[in-house]
Amino acid sequence: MITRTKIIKGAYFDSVTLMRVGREMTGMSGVADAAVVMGTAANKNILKNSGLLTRDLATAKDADLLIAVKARDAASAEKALAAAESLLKQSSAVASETTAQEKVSSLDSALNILPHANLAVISVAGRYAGALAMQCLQKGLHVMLFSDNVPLEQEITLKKLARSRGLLVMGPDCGTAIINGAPLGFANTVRRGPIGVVASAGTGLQEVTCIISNAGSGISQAIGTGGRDVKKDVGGIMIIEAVNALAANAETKVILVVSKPPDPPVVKALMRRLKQLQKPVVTLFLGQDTGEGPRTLEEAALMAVELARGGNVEAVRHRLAERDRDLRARARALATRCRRSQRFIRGLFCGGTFCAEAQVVLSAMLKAPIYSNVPAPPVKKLKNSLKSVAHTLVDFGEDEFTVGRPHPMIDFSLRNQRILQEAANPETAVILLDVVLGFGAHPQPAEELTPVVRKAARSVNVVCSVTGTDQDPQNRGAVERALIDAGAVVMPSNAAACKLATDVAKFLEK
Amino acid sequence: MRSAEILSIGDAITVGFYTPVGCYRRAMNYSCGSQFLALVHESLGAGPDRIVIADDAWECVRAKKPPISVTRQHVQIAERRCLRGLIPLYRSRIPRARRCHGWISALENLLRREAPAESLVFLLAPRRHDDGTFERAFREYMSKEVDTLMRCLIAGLRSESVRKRAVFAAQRIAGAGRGLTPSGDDFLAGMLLAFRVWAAPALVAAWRRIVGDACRSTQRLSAHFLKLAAAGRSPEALRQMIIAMRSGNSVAMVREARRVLDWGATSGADLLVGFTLAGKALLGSDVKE
Repeated sequence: MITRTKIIKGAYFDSVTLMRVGREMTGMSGVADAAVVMGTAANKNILKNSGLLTRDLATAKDADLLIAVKARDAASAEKALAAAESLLKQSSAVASETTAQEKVSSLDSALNILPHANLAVISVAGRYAGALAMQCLQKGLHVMLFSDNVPLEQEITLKKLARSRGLLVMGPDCGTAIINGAPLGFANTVRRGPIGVVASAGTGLQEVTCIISNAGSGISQAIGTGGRDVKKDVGGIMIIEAVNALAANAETKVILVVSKPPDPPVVKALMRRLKQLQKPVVTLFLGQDTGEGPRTLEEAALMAVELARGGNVEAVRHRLAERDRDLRARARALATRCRRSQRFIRGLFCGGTFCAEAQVVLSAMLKAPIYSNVPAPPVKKLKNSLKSVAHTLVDFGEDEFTVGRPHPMIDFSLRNQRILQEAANPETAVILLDVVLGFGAHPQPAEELTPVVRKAARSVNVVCSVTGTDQDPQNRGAVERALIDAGAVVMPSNAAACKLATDVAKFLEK
Repeated sequence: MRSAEILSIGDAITVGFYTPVGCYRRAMNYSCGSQFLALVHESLGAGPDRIVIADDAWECVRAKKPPISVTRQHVQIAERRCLRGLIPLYRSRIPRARRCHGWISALENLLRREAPAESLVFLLAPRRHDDGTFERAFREYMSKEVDTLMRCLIAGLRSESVRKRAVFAAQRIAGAGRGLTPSGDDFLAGMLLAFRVWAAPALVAAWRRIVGDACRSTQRLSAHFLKLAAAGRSPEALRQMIIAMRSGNSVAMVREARRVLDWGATSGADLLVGFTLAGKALLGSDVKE
């Protein structure tokens, strides 16, 4: 083996160019190793460690570019050196020809690069987001407004303008959407299929789309509207526009609308529009009794799946009733593990909608008072969110917990501390948890959660639901297995987890 | 050039007559003796040593590569002179943040997912590579020196032998790697900025001296960046990232971290790796100050 080197004085290239040139050289016939680096002392040390440092290179200065090649014979080495020089020349020519337009610096430059784009995702500080969304609408783009803190008046103006132009404004504070199969924001990798979803809540949208996908059906479009859309000030402009869009969408055979209870005028307007549709519709206003309608996200999602298959929604009720009977048997077994003092459920949630759904399930089944930091009647307000009282359901996504730290879907530290605290409390019988997977969520939730769950499961029952699919980057199956191995009871949905926990508490009440 | 076309001027730019030393797609580097400044396109954002030029004027300025004269009152680019008072001043000192492990793990996860494979991300997520001996030597070298530096950081600098080990490791990291600002320098800059955010003032001063000694073993431009980092000065995206951490805005934090990742080919990623590793060590309860 022989080593040949070259020093180019005062030549600067970026690291990827130098690495690419080094790799091209190494891949050439007869070449064993090659490197292209600046002549700093540290780089000379590395060249020495890899056997590429020659006496010439040792004398080079910091600002010199060093090329070294180790090859089978002199001809191969010379050929590699010549190739390196030629590649570096090409690279500098390309760098000088490239214009700044390739980098997006404004909405206009983005549209120059993607002239056929029809949707803009906006995630800038709230005070700027409204103006940017307005520009997008004026250029004929639909808008997903991830940003929060957009003034209410601005939201109303944007939505009115969008409606007049036949465009959608998803948000503000819209965390999740799936458009033409592309997950946007905190969304999951779900199958494509015949069900279109409109939701005002992010985690609610994630839960129903995952249940639908895991049940073998799929999503045509999933549109988030932001929580304020269903309040009377905004008047449900976008929830109705989204329903109109799904009604006109050929792929969508069934429409599922999920929301926390809208204000009465919005319900009236929405129901009027839904009655005019030719497509089957499932509506869930979480916490509002709608008679024959679904009561949980799981039930709503499975009803939509059944309708998409041409089946009867009664079959879903029947199936869920059977499942609930099994849950009661399981709850009896879990209750026998508990000591006399253990009586209460402690629900610790990342998703606001999951906390709301837990309140609906618990308050329908339990007599004892229930407390939460985000109560919806008849649930009572928790005086101190850091201290549980009786049955307590805490939403860790609320502002009081997220100021100065990431959202609990990303940062588990605060909830993990609370899990251990609740496990040490002699009154705790069940710790109820949600685990949300998908884009934007914690990439390895099992790694963070299982040590804590293992410790907690020694003294209390830990019941979890995992929102996600096997196609998600975290892989739902793998996360479930890890949690089960750690001692948790894993349920297929948040509603099922809440029912199991409630059944355990009911046995303990007796 | 009108003052409106200069979007901002950094607060670390000193008086002098600067001539161009390097021209890139979105930036031009200038020097005046041992001082540097950069004329940058608006997409790169403000920085302590940056003069930011609006998109409309950028191509024209870049084509001319004009010298720049900076006085107390004026900035003159080519033949046009602008009053400094009319140009928005970018204040580059980064604020201190609350001690919060969550941010560091969020940042680490983002780097594992999105940092270029050519960067120092292997220090966070070791992977098997099937490349040449030089690449292997580089990774082994950096892993060893960074490990030594982190051990010194955790052990504290009370004994002279630990301090000497830290100086030696920092000197060996400075200038290691490819590119205009070698990866090792970006790493050290990230470390220094993490000290500024989370460490006690006495510790910051000690490590500033250590990295100050190490600066001598790298290029002038890199040494300039390291000095700015040691003074707690940072470009806009990183500063905004830290502000987002303080205010608890995770969306903004991720957005700004992505802007940092966009710096250079691997510079932003290397800097964030240094920032993250030092942050992890500093936020660990066993760090002695």
